[in-house]
Amino acid sequence: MTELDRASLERLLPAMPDPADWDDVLGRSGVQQRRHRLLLVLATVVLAAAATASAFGMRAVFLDKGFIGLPPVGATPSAPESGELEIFYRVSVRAWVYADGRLIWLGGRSDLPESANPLSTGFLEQRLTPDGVELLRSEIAAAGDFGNPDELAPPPGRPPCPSGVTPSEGNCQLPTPEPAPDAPIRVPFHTQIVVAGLGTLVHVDHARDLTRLQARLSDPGSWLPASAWADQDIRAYVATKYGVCYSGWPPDEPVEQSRIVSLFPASTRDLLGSATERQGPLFGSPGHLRPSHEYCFDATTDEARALVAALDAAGFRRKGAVRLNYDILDGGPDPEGALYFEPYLPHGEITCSVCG
Amino acid sequence: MIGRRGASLDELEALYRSRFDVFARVAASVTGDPERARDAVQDAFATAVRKRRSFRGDGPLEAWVWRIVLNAARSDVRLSALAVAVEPASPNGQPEQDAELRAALALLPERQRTAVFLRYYADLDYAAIGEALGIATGTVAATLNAAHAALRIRLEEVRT
Repeated sequence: MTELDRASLERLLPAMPDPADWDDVLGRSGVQQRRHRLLLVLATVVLAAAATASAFGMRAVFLDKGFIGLPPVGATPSAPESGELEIFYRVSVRAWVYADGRLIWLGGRSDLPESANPLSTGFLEQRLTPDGVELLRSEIAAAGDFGNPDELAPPPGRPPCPSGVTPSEGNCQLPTPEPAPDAPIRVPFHTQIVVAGLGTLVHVDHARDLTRLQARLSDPGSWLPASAWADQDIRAYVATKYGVCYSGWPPDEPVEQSRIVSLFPASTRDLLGSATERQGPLFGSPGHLRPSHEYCFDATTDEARALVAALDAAGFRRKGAVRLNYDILDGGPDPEGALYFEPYLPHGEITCSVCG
Repeated sequence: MIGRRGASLDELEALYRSRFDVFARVAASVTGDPERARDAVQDAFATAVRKRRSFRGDGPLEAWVWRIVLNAARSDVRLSALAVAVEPASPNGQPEQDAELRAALALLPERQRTAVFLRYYADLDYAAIGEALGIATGTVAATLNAAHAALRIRLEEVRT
């Protein structure tokens, strides 16, 4: 007979040196700090909104449809002007989730009535509750392991082979076979899911879990409960300022700034001449991606409108249904370069809305 | 029937507060050290908090958390590469019998020993033990039977 009663076993087990500490658990999980931060941000938002409304007594004008370029005159910018980025992801849509609940997203669902046009949604905005942000965060946090972006599966070294072309014939590579649903998977480079405090999702135990997560992030309205939404109505995201950038063509070849500026209308040269050089998005094809060189400056909405008016009046050609672009011409048939406008997002960055 | 999805923070907190001591002391039977066991439990509950949305509700929440706790405790053992032994901090009462049982338990394979603590100390049913150990419910019965048999033989050897 064995003496396997609770009292006997309890006597064999050591007592704990320290008592239970739930706050320590929350601290290790990262939830406690975030809750405090969310409450602080929420309080700030409420105070700012109340102060603004009472001071100006103005009625907000929200747009129920996305747009490309600059907003219609009178559209109310998204508030508050700045926000703390909690989550960013790029799946079939790109989305930015802020601690104040804003979910700003772009692309992937151009069939929506709120889309700017058949090719792009434009930047759209919805509002989550603090619990909604937490649900989204938890869904991602449970998906796999986090690291830094360098750990994502690298882009293909050569472009994919066209049908009927072998790798040796075409300096290309065959498509990578889809992993089995149960197989572990390194997150591919074209998917990017980043959570503040955790890092970039780099590894998922089962490929099917990544597929499921991608589907959920592409359409959070399909699974988040109603309580997760402060305002599920989709409206256009209206920025308070814009990044204006220009470059030569092709953009990976540096070009003298004064050379490009001289091609713009005289009334705009001082403004455009204030731009500073930066490394822009990668340019080229898989295996041959190179950084672009561009000159950028920040413009208020009014400054951006004045610039657009001057370019239009000078006959500059607008192009693109996804972003407000202008060709820079010098009398020849081919453009010398291009200029574009991108809205600033609440965390203080612009994105490349035409990039894949 | 579709299992429910996710566990709430409140449910996890209630489980933690009501069962911390049981979790930590059983974890100590794996790590062999109460400090490391407590650390494993804290880390395990932090993991459970982060992953609570992935709890599928196929079984009790406690069984799901036990699995995380035991994995954390085992991971700690692997990291420290220390041999495991059940050592009481301060034996009291029936010292001779306790020492015999302790020695016999320490000789059991880890899965059998953990199954014994989960069944007779943590008071889990077979299904929950199966979930916690990642084995079939039928295997739990076999594991406990094997543990009983081994303990009986060793205790008889000690006492004769």
